[in-house]
Amino acid sequence: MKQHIGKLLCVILLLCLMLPAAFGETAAKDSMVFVVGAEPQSLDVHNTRANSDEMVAWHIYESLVTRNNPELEVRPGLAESWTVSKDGLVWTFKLRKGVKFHDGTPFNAQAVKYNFDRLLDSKNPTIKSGVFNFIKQVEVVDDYTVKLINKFPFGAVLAHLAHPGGGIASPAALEKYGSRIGDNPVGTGPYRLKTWVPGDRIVLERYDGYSGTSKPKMREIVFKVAREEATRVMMLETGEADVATNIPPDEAERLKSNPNLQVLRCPTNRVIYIGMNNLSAPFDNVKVRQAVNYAVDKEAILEHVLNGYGGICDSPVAPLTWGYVDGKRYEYNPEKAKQLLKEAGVAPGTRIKLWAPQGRYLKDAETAQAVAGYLSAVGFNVDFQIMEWGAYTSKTTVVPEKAEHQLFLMGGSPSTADADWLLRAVLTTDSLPPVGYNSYYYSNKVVDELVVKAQRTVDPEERLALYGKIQEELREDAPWLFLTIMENVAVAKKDLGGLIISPLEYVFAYDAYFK
Amino acid sequence: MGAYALKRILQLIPVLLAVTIVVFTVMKVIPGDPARMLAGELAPLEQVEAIRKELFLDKPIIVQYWHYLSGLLRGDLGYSYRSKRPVSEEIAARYPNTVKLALVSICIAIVLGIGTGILSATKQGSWFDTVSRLVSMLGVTVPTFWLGLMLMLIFAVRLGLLPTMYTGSPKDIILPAFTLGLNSTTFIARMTRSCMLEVLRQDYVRTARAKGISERIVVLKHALRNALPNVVTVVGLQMGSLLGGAIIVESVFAWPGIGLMMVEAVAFRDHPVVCGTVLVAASALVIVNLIVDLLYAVLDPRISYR
Amino acid sequence: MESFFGFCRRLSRNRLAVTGALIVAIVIVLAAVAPWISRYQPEAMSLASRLKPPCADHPFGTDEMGRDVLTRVLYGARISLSMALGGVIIGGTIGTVVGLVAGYGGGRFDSITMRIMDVALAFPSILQSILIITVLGPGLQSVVVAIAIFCIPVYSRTVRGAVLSLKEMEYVEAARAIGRTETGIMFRHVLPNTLPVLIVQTSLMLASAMLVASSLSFIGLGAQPPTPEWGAMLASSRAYLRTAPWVSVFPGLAITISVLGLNLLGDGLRDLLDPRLKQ
Repeated sequence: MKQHIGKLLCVILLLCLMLPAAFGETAAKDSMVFVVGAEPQSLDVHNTRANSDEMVAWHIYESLVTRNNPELEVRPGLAESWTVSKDGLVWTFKLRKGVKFHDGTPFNAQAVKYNFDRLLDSKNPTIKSGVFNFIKQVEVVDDYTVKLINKFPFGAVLAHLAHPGGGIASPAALEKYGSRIGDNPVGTGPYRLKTWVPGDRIVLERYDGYSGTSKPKMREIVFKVAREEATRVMMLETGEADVATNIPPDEAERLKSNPNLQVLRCPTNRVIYIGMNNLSAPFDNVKVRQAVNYAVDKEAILEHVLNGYGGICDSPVAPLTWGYVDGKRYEYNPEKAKQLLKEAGVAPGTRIKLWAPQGRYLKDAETAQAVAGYLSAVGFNVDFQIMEWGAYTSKTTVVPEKAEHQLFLMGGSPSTADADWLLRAVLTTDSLPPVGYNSYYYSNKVVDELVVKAQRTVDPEERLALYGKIQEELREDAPWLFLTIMENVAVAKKDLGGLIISPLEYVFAYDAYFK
Repeated sequence: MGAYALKRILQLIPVLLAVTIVVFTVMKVIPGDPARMLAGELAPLEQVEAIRKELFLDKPIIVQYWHYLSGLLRGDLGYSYRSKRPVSEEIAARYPNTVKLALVSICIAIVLGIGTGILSATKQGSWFDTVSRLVSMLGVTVPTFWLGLMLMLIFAVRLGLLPTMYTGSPKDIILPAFTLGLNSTTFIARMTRSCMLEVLRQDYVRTARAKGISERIVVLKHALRNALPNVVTVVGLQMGSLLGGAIIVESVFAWPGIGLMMVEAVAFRDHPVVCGTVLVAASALVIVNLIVDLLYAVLDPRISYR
Repeated sequence: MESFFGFCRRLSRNRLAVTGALIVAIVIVLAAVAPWISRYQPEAMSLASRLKPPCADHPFGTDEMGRDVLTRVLYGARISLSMALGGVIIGGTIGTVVGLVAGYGGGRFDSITMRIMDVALAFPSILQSILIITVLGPGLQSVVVAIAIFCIPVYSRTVRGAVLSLKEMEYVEAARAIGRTETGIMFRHVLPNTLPVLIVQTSLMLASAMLVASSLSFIGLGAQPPTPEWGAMLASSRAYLRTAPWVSVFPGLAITISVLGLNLLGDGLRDLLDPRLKQ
């Protein structure tokens, strides 16, 4: 009996050893494996919901204007050039000629109008409709000229058109696939969808008819999903992944010394902050909010929790976001914090609540724990609680009367890379829940007025000056504890060139090639 | 026996119905607003409300359940909130992977479990018994994700023998199946050992031994044959739970099964997907249990069914 | 019935059971004396001394928040054990009572509760815990509730099975003959005789409870930081598995050793208490 089991075990072991030889063929060098942390759910460009959807969608679609990386300057996309009327209401776009969608449909002004009509259809709004609600209507001038008529003069038109929701899909495909367009995306981009096995992989293939200047080189891009960070790292080490996104800083540091791998990093325009409930005592007192900002050593958090991957944030607007203006920064000064707390009459040992999500942002729970430590050091008694994301968002997006939250960690990034989007949606009186996402219940008339004024100003210099004033006001009022700027970290094979790492938290492979 | 099987199958219906009621109610009780989560980051209120309406989330729960149930009776599991695909399609894409993983895992567990069980029973009290029991316990002493990560680290990264990624080739399954199978091994080994010990002490086995029948035949033909019904029960129970998806192993090995889909659906409040996957998992479990009960009758003729 | 001492004598001859009992005893003692062994606080952070490898000051090194891993493992024994124990005792008690009443009383109560248990068992067990914790919000108490609910069907089935055979025993008839009430018989005569089964079950369930807790932490729904619960420590340390292995190795070993101890004890006790397996 014993011998039999022994023999069996030997056979199994041998099989294990032989298998790699049988399957060890080397992959052709014009196909790459791109490992991401979350699976896209829909590749309908107007109904993408998360970064993971948008990242893949950007390989398939193009929009009227686009951005270069990492500078994020607006560049011509499907529109070659544009002009704006004096009153800032009418934008006229000249379209690129000779462009065809993956299904052969020609790209023209009618296609643009069809897409915007879909986005602006108030009866059946898409996820991205809200981004474009400044547009009144879109008119076709001729086959290659299209006019955007806005409801009001708007400063961030181009930033919004460069938003991932502004991708132009084939009207024929939209008609044909209806609600299943998410599985059958058809754009004009450098890659088109070949196969999608839900849960397993998305395969994009080169679109040979691509009309852009930089032709795609890779024949195929295979997107694979691995939720676990540790798994993604191991996939890189075994060479199975050619590139993997969202690599934690500690691992990136270690992988730097791997001769086969390269670390790609760039600061993002996501600010990580601790939101404060500005109506809940003691945080209804500006001195306490300032004290909290002085109490936390952001440099130490950046260095130790984030391994130096990231930056310090001093405003709701990240430096890479258009509209950022440099200004006052709260240095680490626990003495001053204690002084301010004393002035505000906050007794040592005051109980406060600090909530955080886990795994939503890079090292979110760790960062919040560190903050809890610093706040305890200036005399607060911190109740620290981690929450599951679904419950977290619903508990913090409630009307003020029902609010239970005090301090809570959040990350904010305007997907338009323009200050207007975030400020308007989270820090104005108009955006108090349930309408918007001002979970801080921050209400400042000056900010409200300036935000609307900046939104409706077309001249960039003038706009920038307005955002400067807004940020000055916000820094002084400190509705948040400004913490860090997140960094986008990806690791790739050393011989993989042409990868684009974006401050908008994407990694693009449409220009990738093996050296 | 046919009548018995039919009766049992009919009994499954209320159980599965109860499962849907429980899941449906729980998903409605869970804090978190699916409409808001689906609307995306910083979505305007009109959009959130439009989604709520589209998904019938503005209706009373009874109406929602009735809507779901009437769909279910027509064989329609509804549409995923997130991907807008039919839930049945989402499950169909992943369930074969779950089944594949479950089958290979259970095979590993049967070989290891019965093997170590027999060995430790025949050598009860020896150091061999000790060692094989310790090995068979590995799966229930080491936390699964830790075991998985360690195995991956050793066999994929350090030794370069096995892949870390699911590609559909036969060798991807080895590590996840082993990690998962080790857990079931313990239960199978435990049952095999105690049944064998019991049988080996019976008079007829002693008689057989006394008659000079070789030990191997005694063990295999008499002892194992008699231990089999109970071992089959344990294997069935394990198989039933494996068919419900292996959340942790799927997550560590990026295995595209329904376990991970279930967890993500809970996290994103994708109610139809949660209900659909739980229903599939529960059906698999009760059906496997039924098969085990019927097998029991085949293996143990002393039992008869009314 | 053999005497307690006779039982202990037999127990002492079962090598694995003795090892298991010893391990469990050591873990309990370490948990009790934690404050005397370690001079650190389990939740005291020091970002500057983050992820230090084992050294004289920190024999097990420090974790990602600069906390002493040895201290956390020691205090973690208290939390992990009491969490598992809490869950198993609550769930075990409910399950036992349900199983006892169902098995002894039979009838409609029996068939209804057993159908309910069928439904409970039809759920993938970890998903059941996930749903419970998502409703209650993550935290230690929720894990205890999840473990308790996980235990109920297991206990009620086991106890019901035992009671079904016990209630046919002669001493039950005898008790009835001398006029004992049915409730009295159930709790005074039948329940004590299910004790062997319960003890074995409890030791194995404690082991599973600790693993369930660590699985839940892996999904982010276990005990919450900075609580030094082993499962939570192990789960959060997986980010440093490669760069700072000591952060995960020690809590991992703590879980593995304790769970092994409980399993060995449970298996050993079963060997002893099951008359059919006597050597």
